[in-house]
Amino acid sequence: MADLTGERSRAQMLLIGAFALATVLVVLALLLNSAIYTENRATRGQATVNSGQAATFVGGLDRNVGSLVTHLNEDLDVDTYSVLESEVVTNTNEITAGIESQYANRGFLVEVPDISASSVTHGTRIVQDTDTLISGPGNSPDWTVVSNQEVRRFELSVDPDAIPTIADRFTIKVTDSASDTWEITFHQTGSGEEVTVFPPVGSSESCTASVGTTSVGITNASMAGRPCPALEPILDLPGPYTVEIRNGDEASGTYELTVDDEKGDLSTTYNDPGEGTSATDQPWAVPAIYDVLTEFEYRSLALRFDGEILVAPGEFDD
Amino acid sequence: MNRGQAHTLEGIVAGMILLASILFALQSTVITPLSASTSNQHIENQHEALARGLLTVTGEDGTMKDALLYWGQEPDATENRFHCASSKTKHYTGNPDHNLCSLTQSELNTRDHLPPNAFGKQLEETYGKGIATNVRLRYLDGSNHETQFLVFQGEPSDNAVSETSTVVLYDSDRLRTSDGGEGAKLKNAEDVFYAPDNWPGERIYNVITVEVTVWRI
Amino acid sequence: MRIAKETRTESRGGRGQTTFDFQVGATIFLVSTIFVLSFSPALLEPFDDASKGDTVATDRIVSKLATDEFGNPSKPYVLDRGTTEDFFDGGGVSDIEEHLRPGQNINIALTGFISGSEASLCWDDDDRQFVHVGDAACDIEFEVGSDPADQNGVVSSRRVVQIGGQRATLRVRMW
Repeated sequence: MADLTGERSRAQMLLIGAFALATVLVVLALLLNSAIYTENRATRGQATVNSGQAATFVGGLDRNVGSLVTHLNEDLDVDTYSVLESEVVTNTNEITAGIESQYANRGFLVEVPDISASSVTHGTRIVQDTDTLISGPGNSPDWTVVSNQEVRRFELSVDPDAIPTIADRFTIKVTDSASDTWEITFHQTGSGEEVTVFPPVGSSESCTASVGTTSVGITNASMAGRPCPALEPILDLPGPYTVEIRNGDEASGTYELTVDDEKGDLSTTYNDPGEGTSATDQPWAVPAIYDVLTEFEYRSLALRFDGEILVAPGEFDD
Repeated sequence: MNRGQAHTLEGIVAGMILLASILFALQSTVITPLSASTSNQHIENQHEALARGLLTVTGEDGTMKDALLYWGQEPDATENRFHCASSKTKHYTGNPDHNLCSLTQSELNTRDHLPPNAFGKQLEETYGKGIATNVRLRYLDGSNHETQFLVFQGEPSDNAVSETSTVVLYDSDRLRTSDGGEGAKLKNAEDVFYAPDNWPGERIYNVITVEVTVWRI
Repeated sequence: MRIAKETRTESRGGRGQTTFDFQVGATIFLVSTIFVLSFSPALLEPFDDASKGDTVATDRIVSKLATDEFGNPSKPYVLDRGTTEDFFDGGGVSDIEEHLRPGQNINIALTGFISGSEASLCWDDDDRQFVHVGDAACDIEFEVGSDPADQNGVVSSRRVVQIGGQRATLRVRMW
């Protein structure tokens, strides 16, 4: 480098070349890094706005208040509307206070305002709990269970007779708000019980079970604890419903359903619970809660979610 | 002579600059924390969503509540614990204590840190090997929040995900025996159970938050 | 004196030869350049996985199916048996396949544990229960799409769901 006299020098081309290549590589690293980071942020899913947690909270509220409603309805010591109301209000507020406290402990603000009696819909629970014929309160084989009511948690456990003629079988007729009538017939075949569903138009479908007495859930489309595809279309019918029973003397068993009117306002007069186990004392009806309206607000760092839910366990679209 | 050494020096320095730059480039692109690279982020998202589904489904069909009540006073034990939990702790960490357990080997889980009931089975089916789970139960004691672990496998790593769900216990709910049958009512078992009756005299016993934490080991 | 002259002539002249020291320097430089250039493909290694975009797609698809399509958004992860059966039986997957890139494949399956082993579920209409695909009583398979077999780059997403009282896993795979 000292001797430059008259000689063309490379002027350190190697060094400059090396610097240039090094700069290119560093800039490449910068670009690749930013691409990786962008893709990472884009696929981060629920990290910042965790809406899944909010949905879990609402689902939990629905389930827990629903368990309280069922619990109170099944407790026969609570048998007047005023006592039911105060029990529902007190216990729901206790549950929601507990939930609020638990969420606050983990850094979420949830607020479920205390409910009052006005958030509670009075209903009636119609029950037959001894194994007798499914005839009405006056022992009539053809009778109307409810007329134009919302119905939830309609479950039966019946042993029907073996009747060859469809029209003579034990039948439940459900009429929805569009005046479509669906008929559900029960009868005994050689290999077990069969439930057949007749739509207003179209062909019928059946579910069978291999035993003589099985449980059937109308509002959750199940038979013997397993899904019954034939009953599934009934879940989509719009309420309120009119439920009638035909040939109730061709089957015996137990059942229950919950409707959304007070016991005194129902079209059929029912017995009181505990009067006895003979056919004339069954079925009976007891005051119950039909549904509870609960407001809620959920707040996390990045999300605010508020609304209200109507808790009605076992409703048709549940 | 000076000139010649300068060439060598120049070549060496140029080479070293290049090597340093490629070292820097390789280090920085790979080290963007490996735990936050795209495929690992996806796996974490899946674990979180699976936990949410697991809590919802087990809450709906009652297996979560059964797991919370799967508690008993084992004969010859000085402390009450979850059925078959190891003798040092009251919760499941592994190696169930067979002296305290009426379940046979085949009835226990293959991953023996999980509860030997339907809830533990669902945890096992959802998360395979190589994934650690903690299940933490928070209950109320007056205005305090106390903790009881159901499954504890150690402190979670930095990349753990967790989800929670809430269950209400009533005075009339019954404890479960180790074979799944029904035991004493909660209102009569307050001295045995881990959670106290937070509303004495009312029908609600306690409100329990179930927190599932999942991470890769 | 003569040698000095000759030396000077050499370093100046047009003989076209490099000095030894220059050779050493240039060699070191060239070796390190070749070494560096051979390592630069490793920079692109995190981007090698061509199926990366599919992770987001599988996650969105399985999330939508498990919380919206097959059930009720207010009751996520609880599937309606009838709606799910209509999807698997009635080719509902073609709505999804319309939006895939050419060459992309999708497989949607509902798997569950029956008698200790896990496989795709199948609805048995006669006994009204779920069995595994391949069982003799199987009527309606709850799986659509081809089997990815040993493909590399298969991305999958799962959700825990409940269908008709049976706990199952909804799994979407793309490759």
